Amino acid sequence: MVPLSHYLIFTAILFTLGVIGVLTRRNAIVVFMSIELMLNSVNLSMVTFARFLNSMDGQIAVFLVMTVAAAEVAVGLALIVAIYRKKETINIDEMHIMQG
Amino acid sequence: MAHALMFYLFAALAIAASLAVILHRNIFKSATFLAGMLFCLAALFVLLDAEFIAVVQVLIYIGAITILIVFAIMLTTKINDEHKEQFNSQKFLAPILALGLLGLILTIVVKIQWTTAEISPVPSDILGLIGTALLSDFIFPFDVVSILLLVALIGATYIAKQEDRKPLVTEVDETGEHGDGKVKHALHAEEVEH
Repeated sequence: MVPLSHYLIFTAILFTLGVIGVLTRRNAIVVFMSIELMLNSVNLSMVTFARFLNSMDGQIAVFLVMTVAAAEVAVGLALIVAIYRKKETINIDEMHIMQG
Repeated sequence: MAHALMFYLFAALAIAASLAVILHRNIFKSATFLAGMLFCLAALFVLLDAEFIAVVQVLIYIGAITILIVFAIMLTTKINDEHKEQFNSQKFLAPILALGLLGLILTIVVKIQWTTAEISPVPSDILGLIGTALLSDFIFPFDVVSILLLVALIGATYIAKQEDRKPLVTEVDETGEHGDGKVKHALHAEEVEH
């Protein structure tokens, strides 16, 4: 069995890649995909802990996180499409009407 | 041994696919790499004896979320978007900060002595156990998530439907303006009469 720390290091790397994607990309859909990367890395770490502690609570938490992620993607992509219809772009740098 | 080999293989594939997701210029290819990365994670779930989660991952993430993202790409992306600048002005500072975060997490992971239970074989009836737990100990989060899904369904429909109502609203606005104009004229006329 692969040691626990290797799983955790792997999830940390995935999470960091997601953070880099969210911070640096300009396209809103790619930012969405990076958020999915982060959610998935956390899911994997929860399943890892569930396995190494012989508990099932981690898997149920992952199930709930997946449901929330599905809801988030549905609303978020609807928002992106609505914004595109209004502004003809999904470049995040140009969404600054609330900047004051 | 084979277990460890599979873990390192799928982990390396997943990291390569995530790098491609955040670096590729073509958004559609990014989405495809995202599907590949999710599939690698499903394989890792199987390695961790979480078959139910692996199946749900394939169904929800690859089957539903990736398809939704592809639809959004088709609705919003132009052919020549690929040649535009893909990164914002943070592209040098942000990775440094993120690597700092990675270093922090890795320090914590390596320094802590993780106490793990003796790994016992997974009970064969794990699906039944998950179902029982969802409807007994976790009934409240289960209900909240159900309501959240309903709200998200209604909200997403409402937000995406805005466009259909917009022409109607502008028509109403225009007629409203005309109406106001008429009222103003009428007021003027009254003032003149007075």
